[in-house]
Formats: sequence, structure tokens, C-alpha cells
Amino acid sequence: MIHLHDLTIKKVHQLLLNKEISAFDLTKEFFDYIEKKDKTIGAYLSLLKDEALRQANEVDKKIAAGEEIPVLAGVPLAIKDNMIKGEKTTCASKILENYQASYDATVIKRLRKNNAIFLGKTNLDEFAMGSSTENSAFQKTKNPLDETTVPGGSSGGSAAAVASHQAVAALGSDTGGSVRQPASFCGLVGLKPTYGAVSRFGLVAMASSLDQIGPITKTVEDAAILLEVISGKDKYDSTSENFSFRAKDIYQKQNLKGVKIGLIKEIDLSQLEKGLQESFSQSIEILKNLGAEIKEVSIPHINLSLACYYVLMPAEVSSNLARYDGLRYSPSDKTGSLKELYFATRGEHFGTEVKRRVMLGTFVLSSGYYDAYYLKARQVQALIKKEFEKVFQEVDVLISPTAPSAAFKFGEKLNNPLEMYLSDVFTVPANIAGVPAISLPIYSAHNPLPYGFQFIGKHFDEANLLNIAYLFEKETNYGTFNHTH
Amino acid sequence: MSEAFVFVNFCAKIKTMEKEINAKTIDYLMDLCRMHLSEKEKERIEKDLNTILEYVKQLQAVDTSEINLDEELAKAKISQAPSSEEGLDFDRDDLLDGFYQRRERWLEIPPIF
Repeated sequence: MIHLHDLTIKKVHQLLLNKEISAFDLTKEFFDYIEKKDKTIGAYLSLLKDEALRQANEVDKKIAAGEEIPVLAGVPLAIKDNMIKGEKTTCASKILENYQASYDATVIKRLRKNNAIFLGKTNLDEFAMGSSTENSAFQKTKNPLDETTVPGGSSGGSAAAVASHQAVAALGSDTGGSVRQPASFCGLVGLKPTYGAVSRFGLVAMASSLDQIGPITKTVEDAAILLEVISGKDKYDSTSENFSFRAKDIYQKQNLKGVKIGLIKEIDLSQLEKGLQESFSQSIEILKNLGAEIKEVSIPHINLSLACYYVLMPAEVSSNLARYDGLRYSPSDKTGSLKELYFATRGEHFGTEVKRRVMLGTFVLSSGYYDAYYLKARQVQALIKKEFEKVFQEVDVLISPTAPSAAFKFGEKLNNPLEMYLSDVFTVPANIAGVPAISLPIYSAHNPLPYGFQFIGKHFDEANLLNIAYLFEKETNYGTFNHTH
Repeated sequence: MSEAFVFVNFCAKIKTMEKEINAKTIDYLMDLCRMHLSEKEKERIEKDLNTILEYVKQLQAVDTSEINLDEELAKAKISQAPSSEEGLDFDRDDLLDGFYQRRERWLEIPPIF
């Protein structure tokens, strides 16, 4: 009997090596479970059953032949539906409803090379624009920990799939917190790597200077395993770097003696809700007990990151989404002049949030407003980056909550975009500075739902960042706490 | 909670401020975006954009005189385009098949005139 809720990447690997299960049976078990469970959760937009079972058979043949298999071989994964994978990729948008991709994203190729199994493509806010997955054009995704609440967003489908044990791990994308915030809402680990650590080739572009693909997993170890496979230079993405990460490096330090952890004084913790304040303070004590030195540090303009983000991101969105014209990617049934075709297709097939951001981005880039908004935001971004560089001369990592609250109710923020945007207030700074950040679940007696504890690291210092996160997770035992639901 | 408190104060503040976006701007932006909006959407987006722009206006008070964006850009690595030896391994037919309609080596689109 396989207990899906017990499974991590490491555990699946061990079970396969010991021949306690076959990859085929495991994959089939997942699909049987998805068939029952996903009717309620709504994590998946499409399933890849035939291909997945074929992939699983290949893995079983290798094991039977005594071949050495990679650690991801036979591991069932979920993929956010904004990563191109040789067939339907919708971005949860009507404008791509019938789009058939003709290639695979680099992350998919790398996972495929490692014989990972793709169970299906998961729901998201349309084009990854949102913080609750309520902006999907196709379906609602529920938070498996409390089905009256949202799973977070925009990678809500990926987080819900892992939290409801419909996948062992998943990939999401993070432009302003879209991996970390849903991981926090669903009691999981979410990693946004350094900008440039993972190729964006085949990730449908939202804001190209901020987008990064990252893992959503049950444990820090699993996040490290996925990062090792998906990271590194890619000839198809000129912003990718020669970054070599080894998962085993997260075990280097045995404790946090000599590690300096920065508490950002501009983040006023006294204003946060009681449960979060309490669990955050307890987490700081845990870090101290592990030997870390907690030091108050200043990043004077960090609180302007969100304002900066809501100029730069829509500017890039308006440019990136100009390609959806009703001619390329999927056909339009509209007729009339070329201009009429554009107006009708884009007007009918984009959702409200996408339209809002396209309009805002067009405004901040338009003549007469460019300097006041876009240029100014770029300058403030440069200032914030410098402040991060300076503070990382004093400390090894920074800490903050991941989101200002636990998962909220459906509809609570949907009609108030700025209030929705504020749920990313603690995650956006890492995107603006381009540095890596990881969210881990923390709990309070005041709230049955988890909060997120965020570690922010130096550029390309994921080994150290994940090492610290791993020791914290081990000490709190939260990595396994939640997954018995 | 602080975020809600800050938000309420902020909303009270913007009611007294001059609006950056009006109905005429919305029509102009719609034209630039090549995107139709219903009357209801226009009203809503006008209101939302004004709220967001008031929020981001706080950037304008920041002293950025020491920031030189040209220098920042120069620091950024200029990645090399793939060399001709490594090439790009797309299959031409795969790419053409990705389009929803083709006729031999041509992409076919619906009549638009």
C-alpha cells in the first residue's frame, strides 16, 4: 500500500531502488487519486496520462536492466501551465485555449532527461497575474488545507497539487512572489532562485526581467534536488548564467554557529496579525538556538519595492502580451479589418486583471509619463539593488514573513486590486533585487492555517541559503508536519 | 491588521487628489493597446488605474540623483548570442506545425480585408 502523502522525491527514489514499488504502479496510483481528489481541488488544467505511463514504463525498464537511475527518475511532478511542453499550454487564458506548442521549455527538457514523470499542467492566474489563482479563465482552485480559502497565486494549482498529494513536487514561476506565496498558503516549501539561475526559455513571458522558474515541494531537500536539475546556462536564454548548484551542498553546515541573519528594521512586525507575529518570533528563537546571530539591518527603500514593481512589471506585461493578436498562437473567429480583429480578440479573450495591467503598462511607457513613472521606477530599483548589496556585506541571509497573512477567503480581495497586490509586499523585494528567496511553513496556535517564513540570500548563494533553510526545517520539523492532512 | 489599515488611509487620501487618468485617457490607451473594453470595464479600469498610480507616485519623492542607469546597464553582463557551431536546434516543420493553419511552406491566416 503506497501512502501518497508520505512521498518526497528522496523517498520515491529509495522505494524505486528497493523495488518496493514500480514507477508504473506509482504513476497509475497518482492518476487514480487525481481522478477522485481533483474534482474538489481543481489543481490541474490538463492531465498527461498516456505520456506519463509511457515515461514510467521506461524507468521500470532501466531499473530492471540494472541501470543507474537519476534521483528524479519515476518521480511524478506537476507543471504550471505557463511552461511550454510539446502540447497544450494555456496560461489559463482564453487567448491561448487552443494553442499547440511545438517545442519544450528548457526546464522540461532537463527534467525529461532525468526521467521525471509529468502528471499534468496546473492552474494559475491568467498569464501568472494574480495572488489567489482566482484570475484563471477556466476554473477555481481550492486550498487543500481549507477549501473555503484560496491556494495563493499565481502558482496556486501547483501548490494545491502538492499539498493535496496529487503530485510529489511541482514547478511554478515567480515574478513577484508567485512560487513563495502559494507555498506559504498551502504549508509547503517554495523557492525563487536568483534571476539567471534557471533558464526562462519556454516560460511564457510575463515580465521578462523579473520572471524565474522555481520548485514547490514538501521539503527543502526536494527543492534542492529540483534546482540542481533545472538550473544552469542555456543557449536559448541569454540571461541565464553558468550557475552550478549541487543539492548535496545543503548539508555542508551542521548548525548556524557564525551565521549572521539580518532582521530588516523597515518591516514593522508589530503591525502584523497576532498569529504571524507569534510564529515569526518563535522562528527567530529557533534560529538563535541553532547558533545564528540575529542582527537588525536597514534597507532604507525596501518598502518601495512594491510601488516599483507595479510600474516595471505592467510595462513589461504590456510589451510581452502585444504578441497575442488573434493571428499568431491561436486563431480568432473575429472578422473585419486587421485593427478590428485585434481589438475584438484581445478585448474578448483577455481577463480583467490582464487588461488592467496591459493598460497600466501602456500608460507608464507612454510619451509624457515615461520619465515620471518608468524611468523613476528603474532608478529606485537600482537604489534598492545597491542597498541589498550593501546589507549582504553585513549578513549571510535576511529573514521576513512571506506574506502579511495566512490564506484568505475566496472573493475577499478580488474586487480591490491594490489590496490584492499588497499580499506580495514581502516577496516582491527579492524579485526587484534579483536575489534568491525561499519560503518555509511556520505555524501558530492562533490559526489552523500556516504562515510563511522567508529567507532571502545573496546572488547565486543558493547553497548557503538552502543549507540554512534545511537546518531550520529540521529543527522545526514543519517539513513533515503538514503533510499528513 | 497593518496592511488593511495602511490601505484604508491610502484610499481616504487619494479621494482628495487630482486624477491622472480620465475617460479620454482610457480611450487613448485602449487604442494604443489595440484592445476593446466595455463601458463597465472602462469605468472600473479608470478607477483602478488612478488608485494604483497614486500608490506608485511615492517613488517620485525618492532622491535618485546618485543613480546612473547607464552605468548600471554597463555593469550588466552582455551575453553572447549562440555561436554558429552550437546553433539552434529547432525543426522548421515543427515550428510551422505549431501554427494553427499552414499550406505547404506558408502560414495561412483568415482573410482580414
